[in-house]
Amino acid sequence: MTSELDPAEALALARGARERVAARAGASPGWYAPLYGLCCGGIVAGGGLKPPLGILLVGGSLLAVALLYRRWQHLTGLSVYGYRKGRTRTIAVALVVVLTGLMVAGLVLRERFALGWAPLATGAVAAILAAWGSHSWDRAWRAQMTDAAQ
Amino acid sequence: MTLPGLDPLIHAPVRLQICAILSATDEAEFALVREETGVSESVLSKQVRLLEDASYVRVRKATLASRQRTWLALTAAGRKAFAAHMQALTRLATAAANGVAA
Repeated sequence: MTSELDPAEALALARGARERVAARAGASPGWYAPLYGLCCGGIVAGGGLKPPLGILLVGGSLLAVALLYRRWQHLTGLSVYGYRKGRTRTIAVALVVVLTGLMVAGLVLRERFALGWAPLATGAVAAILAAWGSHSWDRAWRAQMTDAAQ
Repeated sequence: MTLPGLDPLIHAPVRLQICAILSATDEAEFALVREETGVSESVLSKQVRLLEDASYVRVRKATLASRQRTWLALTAAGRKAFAAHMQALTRLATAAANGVAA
């Protein structure tokens, strides 16, 4: 490696480094998004269920999300803020809004319309959406990483 | 090089790669950066220290899965300097491709 790179060489070197990290991140285990979805589904369902079951489910799911993220950090050697600038932030915020809406819907349906199964149904929908959101977020992040001019 | 934005501290190949890797994430493990830059631990430590002394990189030690790990991150100043450096490089490369003297 020379100590003086021309601009094109330097740009290619930086782009290559980011692409290699993107490839590493892309090698994230396939179980991450489904498990993340399940945890989010648990939070949404728990938020709509009566205590103490609801509280236990929310607490357990939050703990599971934290452990899941730590495992991902351990495997990839990377740490990423979910609300980082760019399309990733849009996806993360949209997911929070939708999941909160589902949690409120489950609670309202149970309380006002006596539909005891509603929180479980909204939790199941939340699990699918969160798994899809996690996958989309991952793709958006990898696309951002390969954008050398960012 | 005197073009605004170009930072000689970042321009060295290993440091450029370190900044590029860290700019893509919030934190990266020292071992990962070493693997991706292809340099020895001591060389990487030295280069990281230079960036740390310039307040471009922050070093954090943490225990994860009962192992002490070293995490590297770009500081706000480091992100700004790296972005400016990349923009300056892009301008220079474009000018060179168009046959314009920078």
